[in-house]
Formats: sequence, structure tokens, C-alpha cells
Amino acid sequence: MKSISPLLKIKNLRTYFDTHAGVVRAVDGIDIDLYPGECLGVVGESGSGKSVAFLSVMGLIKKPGRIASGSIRFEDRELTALNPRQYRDIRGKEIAMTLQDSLTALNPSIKIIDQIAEVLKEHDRDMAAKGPKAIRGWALEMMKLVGIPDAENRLNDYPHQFSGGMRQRIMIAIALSCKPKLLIADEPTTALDVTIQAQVLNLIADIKEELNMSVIIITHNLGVVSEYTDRTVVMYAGQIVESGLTGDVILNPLHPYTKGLLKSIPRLSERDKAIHPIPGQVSGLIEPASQCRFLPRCSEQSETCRTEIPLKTLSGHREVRCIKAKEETDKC
Amino acid sequence: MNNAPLLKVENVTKHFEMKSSVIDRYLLKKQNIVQAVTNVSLEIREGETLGLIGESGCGKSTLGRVILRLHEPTHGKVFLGNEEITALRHEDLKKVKRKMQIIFQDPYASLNPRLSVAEIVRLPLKIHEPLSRKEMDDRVADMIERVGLDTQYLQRYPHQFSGGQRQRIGIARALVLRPEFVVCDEPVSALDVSIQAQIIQLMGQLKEEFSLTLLFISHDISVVAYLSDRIAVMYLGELVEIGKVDELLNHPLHPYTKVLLDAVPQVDRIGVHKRIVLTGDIPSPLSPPGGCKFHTRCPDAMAVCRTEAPALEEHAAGHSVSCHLYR
Repeated sequence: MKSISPLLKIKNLRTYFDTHAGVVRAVDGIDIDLYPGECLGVVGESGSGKSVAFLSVMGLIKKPGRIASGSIRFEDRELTALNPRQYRDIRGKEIAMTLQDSLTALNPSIKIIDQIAEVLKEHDRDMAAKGPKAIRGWALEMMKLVGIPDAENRLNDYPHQFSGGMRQRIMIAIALSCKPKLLIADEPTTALDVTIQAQVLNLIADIKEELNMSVIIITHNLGVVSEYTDRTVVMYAGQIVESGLTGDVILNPLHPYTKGLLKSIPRLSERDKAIHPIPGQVSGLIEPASQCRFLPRCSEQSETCRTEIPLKTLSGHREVRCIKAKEETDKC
Repeated sequence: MNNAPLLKVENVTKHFEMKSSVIDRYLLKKQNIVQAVTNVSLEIREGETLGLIGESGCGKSTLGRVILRLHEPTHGKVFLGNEEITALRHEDLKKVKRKMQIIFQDPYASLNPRLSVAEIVRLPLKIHEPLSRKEMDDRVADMIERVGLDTQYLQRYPHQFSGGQRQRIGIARALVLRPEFVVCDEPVSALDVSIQAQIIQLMGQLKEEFSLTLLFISHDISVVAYLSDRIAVMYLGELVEIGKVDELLNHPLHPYTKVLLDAVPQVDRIGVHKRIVLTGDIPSPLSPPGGCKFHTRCPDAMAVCRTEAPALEEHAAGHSVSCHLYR
């Protein structure tokens, strides 16, 4: 896999927010390579910086936020160097993102069909030249593709007339209408029931195969990650603490945070096993001390953890940010 | 665990009437009625935790609220011990209400932002147990410690706390009166994974400590399975299956329960799991389908399901299901 060049290459990305209390380091130096056709899971809790990292990729960081340093390469283009006009040509066309809250992400006063058609008008010149009828036809196709029942009769409905699962599908329809090379799905199923969640995730998986897209699923649900992704990145307090093939990360976690997360979820298959919560909560991201960020909550801590811990590369495409983990496997 | 039922729900139905506009009334249009809960009967024994699961809109929260008489039932009776809650009024109702409390889902909306933690937790005592100020303060401080907060936070306001801490305040408020029965309405759904585990563990501890009887409502089946003794499954306002946790999870009977269990993404399943995917959304409770309400989405639907509604019947000891497949 490593012989192909990555579709998306994030290098040492830092996204900071300037606030009255100080600089919040929401994303503090992350590196992610994503290959064509790959499905990457990004796991972390609120405040881990997982959403901000990918809003940075989309060029959607607004003041007081800023990309302080780092590079985001998409194919052969450097995204951080683009001007707003150039960014608009990529955003929605080559990289698309679905946002977590489908009710606020869709415009409540515009008909669904027009919201899907808008993307096509903006990005697809051939389609735009064919006139509004062709655009509506294509938008209808997209609605059918994502499985909205009775699509013909619902073209002129407004977002509030759809259920949460259907609105999530509409966002996916909008995101997919230009056949992007990369789909970023930010918590695509958090607000949904398990039955609808299964429908939406299966839909994303099917379309990914069909269009050979790369997909990034941002979530806090470890079950979703293990069932639907090839590779997993675990984030904590703005940094990547562990990454690797999903099976390896889930079955053989190396970082104490990943271990803690896995022990803190009740499992249907092992109901008699007690859960072990991680004590405490994520510490503030303003001027973080130069030590392991997980230190205050870590059960395996020692004095050596009181320095800045680098992300260590292990064999089998694994990375982990923990001093203790180096004994487990040799460097490759 | 005592075998006598502490809480008994008998044929409870709750319909909400939607407001109709003047024009609709002029045109003599039929008034829209949301059938939130239809003919539900169940019992919860003393010291038992009953988990209640189902998709959003299935009426599980409404049932919880009808039990507490936060909503008046359209039909049916609810008993706590020997008292018929649904027949009580005024002072008698107030006396029973102090034995029943609720923990809400949203730790942001359920705490009054203008009251300090001490005032929030003291309020139920003020209403139900007129003690001296000193006694009340002691009770509040004791309760705050039991839910794992520091008493130095008592004078702070809700916005100064994180979601997990707020949920602890909500729990303290519910338990300060030493209730017998508590409805937990999705108490951990709004929390992060690691915080969720802290609250689940706390609930488990407090349940033992105060020998509570719980109705635990959640759409997260893993959480419900962890905390409950028995599980009830609701679909479109009806109880479709109820049984002991192990029995229900290992041998689910109703096709809906099977789908629901299968849909839960599990950490131990790496790679896409071929699951039974339901087609379509939950039908509108404004006009639920006739016959068995699940027949429109059921993978095993038969002809009889479209015309005849099945009744909840005991299939094995303590395991009941309402489905034509098992008649």
C-alpha cells in the first residue's frame, strides 16, 4: 500500500484558536496519510481536536481560529496555500464533508432539491450548461442513490420535513453529488438510532466501493470504527496518541488511553465483565505542559512521562505516543 | 431482591392531541392524535432494574413520564406499592411523588442556570421535607459527596461544570429525597465515552447503596444490558418483548429485537459485519400501520401480520413476546 502516493498528506498540522484566556491548541502537530480507496477512522472524545483537524483540511477554520503551521497536501496541491476562490473549486467537488448535526447543517428555508442542485451548479460546468431540468434530474438520481423513499414526491420538501436519518442521507447526497475523491464524515451517525446508523454506514460503505472513494469517519464510537474502517487514528488533547490497522489497534491497543477507552465501554458480548472508566477528564488545551497530555489520567504513569513524548513508529504501520510502548515491538 | 412488584403499570395508553388550526376545524378535518404509548403493562420488582429500549419516537420516555405522572395517562393505571398513583390528587399525590424521581438526559437543559449547586439539590428537600436549614445543608453536602463531587463546589453554578459533573448534580438532586423508584431517561447518552463509563459505574454503586428500583431508558443497548436485570423492548408505543437480560440477548424472539441487537456496532467485530438492515424509517405514530405495527419493516412478515395485532404472551418463563411467529 505504501508504494502508492497518498491522496491526502497532513504534515505537522497545528490549528490554534486565539482566545482571551490564551491560545487554545486544538490541533497540535498531527500527521496523517490517507491512501486512495482507504477508509480511515478517527477516534477521540470532545476536545480531542478531531473535528477541527478536518475542518482545517476543508479550509473552514474561521477567526479566532488559524492554521498556525503545517502542510495539508491533497494529491499534488498544497491546500494551506490556496486562496478562497481556489479552495471553493476543491471543496465540495474533490473533498466533501458531512457535518454532525444535519438539522443545522442544512438550510431550513431552501428546498432539499435546490440544496443538492446548488453543489452541481457550482462545480459541474457541463451539468450547469444543460440547464436546470438536467440538474434537477441528477439531484433526483442522488436522492435515489442514498435511498430516500418516494424521492420524486419529496423533491420540494424542506429539511424539517425529514427525519434525522433522512437528513443525514441528504447531506451524504450533497457530499457525493460531484463524486468526490475524499469523503469526510464527521460523526455521521451520532444522533441516530442504531437501526438507522446501520443503514447510513452501510450506505457509505457501498458508495465507497462503487466510486472508489477514500473515506474518513470521525467518531467516538469504537464499534463503528472496528466494523467499518481499515485504519484507525486515536486522538487525545490535540495530538495523535496511537494509529495503526484497525484490527491491531482494537485487539492490541498500546497506548494507555486506547486501552482505557476499550475498557470503559460496556460490551454486549462480555456482559459479566465490569467496565473500568478512565478517571478525570481532558485537561485544558491552553499552554499545555510539556509532558504526556494523558499523564493526569494515566494508570501506567512514571517520572519519565514528564517530558514531551514523541510519536514512535513501530513495525506494521503502527505509531504510538507512549514511552512504555517501545518495549513491545522493535522499530521497523 | 424482593419478589413483590414495587411498580405496576396496567394497560397504560397515552395519546397526545395535536392542535388543529381554525381552518382545519372549519373544514371538519379529523384531529391528529399521536399514539405515543398503547396499552403497555409491566411490573418492576423491588430492587430490580428494568431496561427500556427502542428507537427514538417509540414512546419509551413518554412511558417513563406517565409512570411518574408528569403526563396524565389517557387510559390505564399505575401502582407504586399498593397505591394507585393515577387515582391520587393533591397532597396524596405529592406524598407519593417524593418516592419517585427522574434523572434527565440533557445535563445542560435540566439544571436551572440561575441556581447554585446547593440550591438545586436542596430544592426537592424544601418542597417535600421541611427540615431545619442546618439539616438540609448536611443532607445536600452528604449527597454531593456520594455522587463524587467536592463540597467546595456547592456554591458554584451549573455552567462552571462539565457534562459529566452536571449529570452527577442531576443524580444528587434525584436521590436526595431517598426515593424508592427512579426513572433514568437516557442519563448517559449526552456524555463522552470515558465520562459515560464513570456515570454508569456511579449509577451501579448508588443503586446498591440506596437499594433503588430503576427504570433505565436508553437507546444504547450495551449500556442497558450492563445495568439491567430485565429488558423491555418498545416499538411504536407498544411493548413487543420483555425478558431477563441474558435470555433476551441470547435468545431474542421478536424480529425487531433481533434487528435491534444486530444493528449495534461491536468492538469485537472487525470488518464489515453482514447485518439485517431494516428498510425505511419508523412509521409515524400519527397513523401507525394496522395489524402488527412492525409488519411494514419486518423481515419475517406473514399475511396475518397485516391484519391482526398480536398480543404480548409468555413464551418461556418470564420471557414474553408479541409476535405471530410464536403463537
